[in-house]
Amino acid sequence: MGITVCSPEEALDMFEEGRIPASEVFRVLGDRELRGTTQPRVQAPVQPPDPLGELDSMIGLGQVKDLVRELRAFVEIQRRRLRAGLAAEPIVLHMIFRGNPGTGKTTVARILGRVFREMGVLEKGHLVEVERADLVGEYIGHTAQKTRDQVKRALGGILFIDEAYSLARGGEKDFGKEAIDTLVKAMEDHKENLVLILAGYPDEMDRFLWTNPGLRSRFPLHLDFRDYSLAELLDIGRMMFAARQYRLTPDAEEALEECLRRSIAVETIPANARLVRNIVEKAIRKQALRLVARRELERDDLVTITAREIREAAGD
Amino acid sequence: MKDCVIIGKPNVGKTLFLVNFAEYVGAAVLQFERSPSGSLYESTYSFERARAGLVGPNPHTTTAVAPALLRIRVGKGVREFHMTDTAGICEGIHGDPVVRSGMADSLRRLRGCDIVLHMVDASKATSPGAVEAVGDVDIRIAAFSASRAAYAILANKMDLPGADAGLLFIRRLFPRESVIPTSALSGRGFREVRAFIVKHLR
Ligand SMILES: Nc1nc2c(ncn2[C@@H]2O[C@H](COP(=O)(O)OP(=O)(O)OP(=O)(O)O)[C@@H](O)[C@H]2O)c(=O)[nH]1
Ligand SMILES: [Mg+2]
Repeated sequence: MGITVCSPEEALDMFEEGRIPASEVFRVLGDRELRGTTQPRVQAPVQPPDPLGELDSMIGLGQVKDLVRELRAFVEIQRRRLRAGLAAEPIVLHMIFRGNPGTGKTTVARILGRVFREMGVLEKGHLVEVERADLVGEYIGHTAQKTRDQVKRALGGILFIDEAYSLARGGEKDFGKEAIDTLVKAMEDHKENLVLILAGYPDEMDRFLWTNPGLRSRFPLHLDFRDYSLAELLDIGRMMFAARQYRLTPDAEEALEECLRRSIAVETIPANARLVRNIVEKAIRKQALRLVARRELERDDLVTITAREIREAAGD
Repeated sequence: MKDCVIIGKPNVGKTLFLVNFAEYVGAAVLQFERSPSGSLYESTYSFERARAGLVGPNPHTTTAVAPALLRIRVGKGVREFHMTDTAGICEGIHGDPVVRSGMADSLRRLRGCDIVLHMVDASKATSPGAVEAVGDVDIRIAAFSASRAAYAILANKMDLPGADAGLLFIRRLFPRESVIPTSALSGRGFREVRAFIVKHLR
């Protein structure tokens, strides 16, 4: 985080430009004006990009965005209540993420970590992403140790367990159960400084929680990550091209829409952001192939993606 | 001329309060120093038109500072002052530059004013996720204003369900400030606000 020297007028300008929130302006105003106007300039930290802004810039995810905002307000108010000597609801932030692959679960988890750190709920807010193999060992006692190690890495942040139901797959004798028990204990021991997120396919998550009622009650927050709609996938594609400084011709836009529509229809291929990214990256390589043989290249040629490249990219 | 600024989160009822309060103190029309809509030719509103055109159900209806000229009769004399409507201040960083510029101007106005009416929505004070919910911005406004101007909190929308609990919460959160329960809609609290302003206009 950088530090800049900042006067009240500059703070107000920065606020106007969308670089700092109002609370930061007040901090500068307060510091300066309480000490009298003869004081030299005071220091105001420049905030890293607002994690909520980053969340907002993600396409779709309406319900997720609402819940994150709600959560933030809830935590904030509970803390204010505590400070005001009022009874506060316990803040339990363990979550279930239900959604198909490529629907933004990991990205949202990472942003949440930063939001929680900013709010002071988590000390570090980092994300430790694990799956069954990281938690389950090969002999008795091994599993508990491996799981505890991962918990330790995640302390102060978020432990994100992908395809969590795979822990329950082997039945009673499986070491997966030992992992679950160890996790439950860790949740108790590190209540103040660890958030657990269990993620996976919707149906399998439901079954998993249904058969583990003890777990269910410990995860009060459920977020559903819908599959992207055709329009959202198209937006994602446009954004990805734009971010890489490429532009689609109108024909290419149509071709992209057509390809995505077809993928959605074929249910065996998950139509998600990853699919779009594959098309985008392949199309960029195809364009390079088309251009490399040419002598003269205008700036326009370099940035333009045509329908042909989109079709080739989606074809292989 | 003394300046009384109404400030607070978006959608808490600042504009409706200004319009109805102006009517309550006996103004014939609402007369703005500059047009609140930004155009140059329209600075006078009938109360009907002000309620229809300047008040809205969504946050960020007001996007510019709008000082209205008010006169209050005190004994035999008349006191003139500005009562200034402002753009609601939201938490975090707003994406719309027009809204941000209105908010920045509002904070600039707050710095120089004499009386601060800090409005909060009692009916949504503790609603998680609501833009109106009492939050960090409110705490900063209170901390900033209380020491440098005449300062009162108006706990508004007292006519709505849940507002009593909200008022209690607000009183506990700001134990040292004067909190006046109001309803911009019904006129509750207008007498107290009038008295508060008159006291600080001397
Ligand atoms: N029931 C009730 N509704 C109110 C009251 N005050 C305002 N409202 C309603 O709340 C909404 C917002 O009112 P505004 O006066 O536009 O709020 P504002 O604070 O000026 O909002 P911004 O300009 O967006 O910051 C409108 O739908 C009003 O009719 C009140 O005391 N009671
Ligand atoms: Mg308004």
